[in-house]
Amino acid sequence: MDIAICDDDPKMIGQIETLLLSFFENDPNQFSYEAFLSGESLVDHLSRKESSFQIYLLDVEMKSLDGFETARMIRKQDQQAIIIFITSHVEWMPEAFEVNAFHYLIKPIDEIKVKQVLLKAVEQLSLRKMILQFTIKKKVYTVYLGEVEYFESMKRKMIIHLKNGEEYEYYGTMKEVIDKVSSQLFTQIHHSFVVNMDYVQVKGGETIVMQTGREIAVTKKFHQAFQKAYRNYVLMRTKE
Amino acid sequence: MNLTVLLELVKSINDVFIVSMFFSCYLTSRSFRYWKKHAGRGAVAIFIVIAAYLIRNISPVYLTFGSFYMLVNSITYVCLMYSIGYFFFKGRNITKLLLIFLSMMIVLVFDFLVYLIIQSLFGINYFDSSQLSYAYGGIFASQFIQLIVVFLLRSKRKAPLAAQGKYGFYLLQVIVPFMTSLFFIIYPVFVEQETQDSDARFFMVVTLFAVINLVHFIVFEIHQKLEKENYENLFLVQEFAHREEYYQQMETHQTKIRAIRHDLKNQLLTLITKADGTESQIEKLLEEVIKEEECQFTQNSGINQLLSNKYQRAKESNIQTNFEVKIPLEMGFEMRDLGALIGNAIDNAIEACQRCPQERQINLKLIYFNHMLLLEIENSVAKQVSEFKTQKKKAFEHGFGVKSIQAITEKYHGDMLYESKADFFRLELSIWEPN
Repeated sequence: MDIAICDDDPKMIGQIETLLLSFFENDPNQFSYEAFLSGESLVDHLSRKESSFQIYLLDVEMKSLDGFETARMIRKQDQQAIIIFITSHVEWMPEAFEVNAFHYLIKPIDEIKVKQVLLKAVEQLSLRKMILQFTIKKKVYTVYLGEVEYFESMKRKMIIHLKNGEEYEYYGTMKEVIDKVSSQLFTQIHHSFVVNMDYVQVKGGETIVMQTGREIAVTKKFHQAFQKAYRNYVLMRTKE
Repeated sequence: MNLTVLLELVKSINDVFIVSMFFSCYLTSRSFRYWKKHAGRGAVAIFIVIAAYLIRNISPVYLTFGSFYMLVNSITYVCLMYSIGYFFFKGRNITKLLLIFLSMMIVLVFDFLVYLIIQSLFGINYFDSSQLSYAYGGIFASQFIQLIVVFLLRSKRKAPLAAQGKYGFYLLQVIVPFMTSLFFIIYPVFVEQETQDSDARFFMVVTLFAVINLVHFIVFEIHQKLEKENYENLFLVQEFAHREEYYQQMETHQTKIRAIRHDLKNQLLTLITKADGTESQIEKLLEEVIKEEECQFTQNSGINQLLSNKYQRAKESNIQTNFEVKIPLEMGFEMRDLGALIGNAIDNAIEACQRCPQERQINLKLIYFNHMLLLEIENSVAKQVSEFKTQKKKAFEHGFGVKSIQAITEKYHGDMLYESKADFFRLELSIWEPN
């Protein structure tokens, strides 16, 4: 797990580092982190694509580029990363929901609270780190469920569409897929489509639009179940 | 011979009407504005449809197709109906073809049904008869039954919200076609059999009934339109009430703040002059400010006003409230819709709580995430609610809040779900921002 810490106060960074180290005490190889002293340097780092992070800890009150602005920049590239804001002004927080914030911490930082938030983040990430295996021409392939945009069934084949545009075709059934994937993240909207709710952009009349711009029809049969599943998904994503 | 052609034309007009109605159940027709814009296309469309119509009905008179008659009949039918579907309705071609196929099935089924009825009643095969009144009597009887089916289908799929669940509405719509159909079953046997001379009279009767049905249809459409407008007016009245409530709340809020500021100024002035009892006075001042601040649920001022208004009302009725609100400053929904939606939902909850002897509680969640707004309300109830209706005495308000929630949810492509247990009631709904 890769974590970015962004705060213009080095003391604060030090404090967070200590907390992270104690949180990952049992498996220190599981995580790595990088610290940034300004929003600009973080955005700059991302634009050079040297590495990406799954969790961002952002200070809201930074000079020049503040936490919200930085978060918006991150969201442009990565819709799924977990963003945790750190602030001393709780009354500013509602704005964070525009960028699908995961959670926020209030200064001075409370250790128990941090652990709760991190635990929740790890849970969310591990849901997306679950894997799916399938064989094409006797060769076994593995994908992370978090990378799957949607599944499509075509006759006796399943097509896996990944978020980076790659596609895999193998012999399999919809039922197998539905049994394997987590219903917290995936939902069926059509007898031959199962989508990852992470990548849903918006719902129109009879279709949903994915973040890639692709439209998929929602049939009457699955309409209610989809809405229910998505509500549960939102509750899960926004739970404190 | 001439009369056959005329009757054939009437029959075909009925067919066209039935299929158009059938199309309108599943497809959206092109709007009036579209035709205004594309007048040329409209002329071509009408010309082609009329041409198809005439070819279908005139050609059999002059040409004999022999054993190919059925095939030619089917092909011209499909061509005529497809030209209507192609020009006047939006949708995929495959859907249109499927609908035409289905309509042919409906024709066959009801022809057979009418044949069975007449056969068992009078022992006569109308459809095989060479006498005009028999042959066309059977056909018209079948057509008007088809019309009933299509009408019912249409009401089920496209009825305005106001008319849903009203059985009188359906009865009113089908009564005239039903009587007509009945008439055409009975008429040839009882009237034409006595005086076997007058095909012209039969034609007059057919025309008369066609006109009656047409007038009935038009009157009914107008009635339905008025009903819809009426219903929308009700919405407007309600919306207006909500808005007025909102402004009043805003005004009292403003006055309160002004009063506090005024008091604060005076009291601070006195605090400067005398030093004793300062602490208790400061505490008192703080209390007042905090009381006013208690109603800060969200930065979104419109929603905040609405919620604090409802919060006050709940408090007055001794209801414990627990609001969890996570919404941004601005959302892509119309404020008046949100006001009616959230306002009605909380009103219903408060109303239910007020009927509870003890234990009154409302839990509300209002969360925005990725273009979707989620609303969840749980409230205590006195006894199990089996039907999602209000128990208000006034007929005007009866169930109206719920219908407005339903209408707004549908407008924003959302979905609602409610669940009622022994001592609580839960409503959850989601609406999507228009893109």
